Amino acid sequence: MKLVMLGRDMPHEVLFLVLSVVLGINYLIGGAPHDSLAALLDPWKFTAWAALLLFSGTVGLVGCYWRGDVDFSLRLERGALIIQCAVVFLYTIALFDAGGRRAAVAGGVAAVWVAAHVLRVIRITRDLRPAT
Amino acid sequence: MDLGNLLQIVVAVIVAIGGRDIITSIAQRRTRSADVADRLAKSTIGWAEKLEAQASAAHTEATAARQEATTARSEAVQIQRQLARAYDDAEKIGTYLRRLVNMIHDPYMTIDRLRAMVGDPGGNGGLILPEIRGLDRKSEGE
Repeated sequence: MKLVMLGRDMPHEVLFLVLSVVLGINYLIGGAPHDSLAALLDPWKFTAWAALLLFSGTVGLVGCYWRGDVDFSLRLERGALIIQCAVVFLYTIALFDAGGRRAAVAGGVAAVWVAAHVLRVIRITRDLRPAT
Repeated sequence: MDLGNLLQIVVAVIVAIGGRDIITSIAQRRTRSADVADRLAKSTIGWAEKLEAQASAAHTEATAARQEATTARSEAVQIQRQLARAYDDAEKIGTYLRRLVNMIHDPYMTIDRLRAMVGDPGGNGGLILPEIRGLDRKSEGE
């Protein structure tokens, strides 16, 4: 017999959030942007984009590991995921815009990243609804 | 408007939605914390009042129990005294009976003398009877 525990341990989400923190820091301390992003965004917009990547990753991780007020942690996580959806969606469009079908792998991974976050946001919204 | 600008506007709107969610959650958490603290304070006061009432009831019960114990102790002393008195009485009766038996076994004792000694308060029975009479009086007094 197997016991399946349904909890908030989501390795994919947590790793994506960690990755966004790392990437955000990398770009903010002077890491060169990808050509697709550089073509789409001005330098200051790119800095803002990297800052949002770092911010959403950090807040999302805080939300994931916040113990105590579940309602608060879920709202925090949802807000961070929404921001990260926008940020990664911009990157996805930039990739496809610059590379077309050649960017299928990188763009596909980024798109799936966004889709996973959207699904998670929907699930959190459902969980936050008061029980009837 | 080119794709880049449109995309940036869409992204800005989505970021604003997410940011609003985060700010709202932080703001609501403060309100919720205050509510929880208020509820906690009220429940603590209620609990303290209950505790005070229980302590008062326990104090009353303890006082009543102490009074009962005092009463029981005095009753026990009284019973001990009565027991001691009964023991003394029994001793006296025993002495009386021993004397009576001695008198019965006395070779010079006649039935008339014995009757006079036992039944006649004015006769020689004064030797024996006052104790018994005293017992009678005491038992009547009690």
